[in-house]
Amino acid sequence: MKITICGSIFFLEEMRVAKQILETRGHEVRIPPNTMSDTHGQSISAEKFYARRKAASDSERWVWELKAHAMQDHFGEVVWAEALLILNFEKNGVMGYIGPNTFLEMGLAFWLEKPIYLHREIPSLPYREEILAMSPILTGGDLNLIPLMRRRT
Amino acid sequence: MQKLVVVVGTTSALKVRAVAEALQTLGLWADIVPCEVESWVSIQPRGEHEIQSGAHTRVNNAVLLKPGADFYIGIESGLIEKNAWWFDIPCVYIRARTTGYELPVFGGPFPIPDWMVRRALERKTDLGEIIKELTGDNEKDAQSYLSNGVITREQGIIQTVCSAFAPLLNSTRYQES
Repeated sequence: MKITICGSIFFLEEMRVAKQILETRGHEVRIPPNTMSDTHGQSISAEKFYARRKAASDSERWVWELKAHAMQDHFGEVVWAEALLILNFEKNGVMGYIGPNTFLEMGLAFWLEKPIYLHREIPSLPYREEILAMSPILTGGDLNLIPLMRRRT
Repeated sequence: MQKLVVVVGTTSALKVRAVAEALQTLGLWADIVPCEVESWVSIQPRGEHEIQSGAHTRVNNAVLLKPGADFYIGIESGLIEKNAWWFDIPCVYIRARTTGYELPVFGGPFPIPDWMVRRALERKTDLGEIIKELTGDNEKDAQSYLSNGVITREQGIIQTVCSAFAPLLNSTRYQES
C-alpha cells in the first residue's frame, strides 16, 4: 500500500525507521524530506530548520515561506498516499501527541476518505473530538496491523 | 556531563548488565532503558546475516517503542559455521539518534559442540535453553559452561559494545593522519 507518514519533525529519525520497516513488508512509503532549501538555495537539514523555526519571530518571512512550502509538499504526499500513518509519540508531556500541522494533514486525508492509522493512543488535546470523528485506526505501535492492500469500504 | 538515554532492545538481565558495564568503561553517563522487542529472526539464529538482522530489527523496534533516546542498542547472538565447527557469536548494533551513526559489530567467536547445536535445533529452542537444562542457571551462558567459567558471555558482549562505540568516541583516530 502507498503510505505517507506524518508527525512532528522532531521524530524524523523515528519516521525513517518506520519507513524502513514498512518497506521491508512491501509497502511504498513517503516521509518528509531530510533537507530543505532556504531562500539562498542553501541546503538545510529538516532537523536544523525545525530548531530554527522554533526560535523564529513572526516577522522572519523566509522561515514561514519555507514552512508553507514544506506543508504544501507534504499535503501532496497525503494526496499521493492510499493511507496515512501518524507517528504520534509522546511530546510536550502529552501521550499520543498530534501537533497542529499533523492535524491538518489528517483533515486532508479525512476529506479524501483515506484510512488514518494512529501509532499510539488518541491524545487529550482540544481537538480530540475531531480526531475521534475521523475514526483513526489504532495500531497500538504494531506496524504489522497495516494491511498490504487498502481495504474497500 | 550530559546524561544520555540509552535504550537496549532486550530485557535480558545479562545483556542489560553488559551494556551498563560497557558504558561505564567508556565513561558514558547514561540511563539505560531496557525494552522488550521482537527480533523477527528464528529462535536460534544461524549465519552472520540472520544474526545481524536480528540485532538491527531490535534497534528499529526499540526506536519506535521508546522514541527520542540518544542511543539504541540491539544485541543478538547466534551460530556461525566455520571449518566444520559451530561458533557462538554476538552482534551488537548501535544507532545514535541525533547523528544517524549506526554500526553493527560482531564479537569474538566461541566454539560450540555439534551435539549441543543439534539438540537446540531438534527441539526448536536456543542454545541458552540447552545450557539452562544442563546447569539450572538462568544466565544461559554457554561460554561460561564450556570454558569452565574462564570466559563469560557477558564479557564478550561488553567488549563488543565498546568496539561498536569506538569509531564514534575516537573519530579523530579513525581519520588518516
